[in-house]
Amino acid sequence: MQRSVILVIVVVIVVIIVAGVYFTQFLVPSVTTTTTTPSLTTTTVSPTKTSVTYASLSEMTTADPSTDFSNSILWMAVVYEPLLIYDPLQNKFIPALAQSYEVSNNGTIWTFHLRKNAKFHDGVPVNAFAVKFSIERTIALGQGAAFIWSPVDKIETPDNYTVVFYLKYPAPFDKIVASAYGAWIFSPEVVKYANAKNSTDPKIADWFNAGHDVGSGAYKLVKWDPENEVILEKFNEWWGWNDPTYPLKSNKAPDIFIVKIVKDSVTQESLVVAGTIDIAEYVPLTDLGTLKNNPNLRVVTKSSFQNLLMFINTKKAPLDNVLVRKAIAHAIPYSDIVSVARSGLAAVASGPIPHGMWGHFDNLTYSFDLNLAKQLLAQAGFSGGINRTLLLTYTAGDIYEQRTAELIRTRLAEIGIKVEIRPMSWEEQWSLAQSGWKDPSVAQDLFIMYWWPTYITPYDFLYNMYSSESQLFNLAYYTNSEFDKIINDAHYWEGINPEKSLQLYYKAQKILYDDVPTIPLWDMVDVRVSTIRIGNLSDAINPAYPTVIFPQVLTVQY
Amino acid sequence: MPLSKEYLIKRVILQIAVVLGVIIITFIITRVIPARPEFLWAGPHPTPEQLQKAREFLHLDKNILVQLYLYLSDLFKGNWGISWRTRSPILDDLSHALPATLELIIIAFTFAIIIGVPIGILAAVKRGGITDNMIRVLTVLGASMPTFWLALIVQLVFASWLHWFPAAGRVTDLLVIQTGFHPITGFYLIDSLLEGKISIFLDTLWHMILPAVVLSLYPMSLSARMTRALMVEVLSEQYIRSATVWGIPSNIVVYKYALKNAISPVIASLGLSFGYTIVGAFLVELIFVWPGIGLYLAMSLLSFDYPAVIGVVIITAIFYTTINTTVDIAHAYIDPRVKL
Repeated sequence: MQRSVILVIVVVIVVIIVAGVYFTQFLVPSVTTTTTTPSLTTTTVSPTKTSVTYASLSEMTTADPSTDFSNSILWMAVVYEPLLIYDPLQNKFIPALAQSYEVSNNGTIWTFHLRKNAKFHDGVPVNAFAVKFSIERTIALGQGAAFIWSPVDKIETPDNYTVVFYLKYPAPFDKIVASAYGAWIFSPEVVKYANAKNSTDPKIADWFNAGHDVGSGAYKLVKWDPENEVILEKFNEWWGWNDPTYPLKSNKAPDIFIVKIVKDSVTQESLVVAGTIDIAEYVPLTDLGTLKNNPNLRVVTKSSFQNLLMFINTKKAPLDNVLVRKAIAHAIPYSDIVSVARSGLAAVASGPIPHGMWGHFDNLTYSFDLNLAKQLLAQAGFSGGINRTLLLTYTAGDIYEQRTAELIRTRLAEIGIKVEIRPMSWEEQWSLAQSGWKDPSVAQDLFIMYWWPTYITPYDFLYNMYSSESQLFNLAYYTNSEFDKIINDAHYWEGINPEKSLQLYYKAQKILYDDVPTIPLWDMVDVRVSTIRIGNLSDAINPAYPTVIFPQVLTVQY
Repeated sequence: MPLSKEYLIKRVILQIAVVLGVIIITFIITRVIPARPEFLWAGPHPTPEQLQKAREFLHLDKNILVQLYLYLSDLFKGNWGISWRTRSPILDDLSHALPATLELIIIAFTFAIIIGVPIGILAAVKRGGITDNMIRVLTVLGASMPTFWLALIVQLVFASWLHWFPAAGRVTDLLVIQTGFHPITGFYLIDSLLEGKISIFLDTLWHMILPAVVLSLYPMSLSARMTRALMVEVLSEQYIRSATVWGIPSNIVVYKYALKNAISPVIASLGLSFGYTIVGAFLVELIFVWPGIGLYLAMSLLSFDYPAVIGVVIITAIFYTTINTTVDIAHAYIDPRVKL
């Protein structure tokens, strides 16, 4: 009796100890503070330092500048620098690590001249070797947005401050080096810091993900807690602070820039109203009227290059008939969708290239005309409407897509087309759409999704969503060899002869307008709400770098 | 009759076999479902090459048994895999989520005992009266009400209409930012006291009340009914009558002499329902957006994040089997006729 009791107790204790050891042994401690200066906490920033807090809706992803292709851009664009920064609204380039560049006549040799006074946060000067090292590591890892470098044949460094890229074929390479993803330059010393064997050793990614940075940007990463907050501190030796000709900075920039993860728009709104955070990434759009009237707040809107499109299954009857597709295009209440679904914070789309981007044209919107839509249907032989219910899929949980889908369904019913709208998780929605390449009859009829470019070129939109080679995102199953050839030519000329390229891009979009494989619905407008003490917010936002606020451009009142 | 060593060893081996079986079944189910996890892994705009790479990295191009073998061998090395959704090690994610769930359940059980036991005593002392009948109706309702439904109703009434309590979440973001609160153990109630942040402590408690009350209703009813039954039995014993005859005040008789003998089976049965409460907690967490294991599982299921789902399944299986084994051993210890 006694012995067995003891035995039971011993067994239980052993189990607990084994479990405890297992968990402590194998549990990688989650990274929190890494190199935070002792004086710095979220609350007690010493009074001589100014700080700005920005609320982000999504958690941060990885901290590896070669592979991140997601939310971490929000701080990476501040901590790391590319060779050039692209200002898409002016269609001009601002020198970052490269002061000047030239391109050979055939568009395949691009030479960049680096500035001589830039240095990484570890004190190592930025030179041609570092540029070559960074880009080659990104290419070798082949993750995230590494595909932007696919034109590169080889990179050479004739001297310390000159980098020459030899391309396999002409490409708008200045736009590529200014990409928001996969184009960051970092210190080659990282191999040493991470005790790695070579540049592709996974140890380097682990070292980055432990909260270290080796960028050359205006701010340093001082705290990395991707699920809660990321803290950046001014890098006083950044070359830009003392360069009088450089536009992207202010002399009242904050000393500390804090990115707080606040996953809910209602909370973000109350935080910015209370003044606890300075900038909200995302507030409920319906409350913007009230917020605009609040004297303590500023509401800044800026065009973004994210747009929403509806893909039509062009290989499934009756949608394989272009007249039916045109009928649908004329039965969609574009302005109502913008005002109801987005509270007016969007522009009615005109072609697949968003407003404000080079390659966008203003005369490609379909008119909303139900009579015309009915005529077109009758011409196609469906005067009474279509005798089966069409399936429209959208991503569950996205309220804008949901409202858009509802409005489309209502109007299509008026011309005799019944639509079932089905919310699905993005993976499910995408997976079903993929099956359409094998058998279009089992896939959806209509499919709503967002697109945004990796680097800012019309080719990104036109190739991914319409080329017959792009089965991943061409979810209208559209195949048109003439179109494919035109966009490839346009891309070829983009870096050498922009005027010629632009004409070709227009021609391609005109083909899409007539064939209606997709119906572009609206182009998003970004909204940021800040407290009154933050100035220059509009200049700190650049649609080529989505979700980024460049803190070096902000002015903060004490 | 002493417990044999063989019996214990058998039990432990059986438990391991059950957990392993659950892992294998879950693994196979998740791999047979026609989902495309490589889409999740490869990010928003992948190239075909990257998708192919993702398939190779996730071993999706291999035979399912090979996949299973690779998964299990990693598991034994202490590598539970990487969540496809959050990109962090699953063990990390679980170690953040588990304290939240445990904290909620512990508070719920505290409620259950503090409220359930006195109600049971009251019913036993006043047995046959109106009070007793009312309590009986309430406990039957409490034990049979679906947790998720009750959670929705409570949320609607007390949070949305009356605004007495927060509708969701674990702590107010605003406060966390203002106070610079950083969890140490993951049990916010303990962490806030350790850091001396009373406002966070109160705020967490405030967020906890609704989900904890909802979750505590079943164990509360259980403990009330058991307490009543046992107290009724004990109160009719000889020695209680003797004590009353001796003129000892009735309060002391009830709470000192009777309760002492009645309470231990109640505690034992509550201990057993602890494991089963975890499942109830899943639904309650989802409704109150409580960042624990349940919410984590729901999010993982919605995005086809299978390694994370299996991780949660393993944790749950370990909980369940441990509790069952403990019950059986205790049972066998009390009643030697029980054979495995």
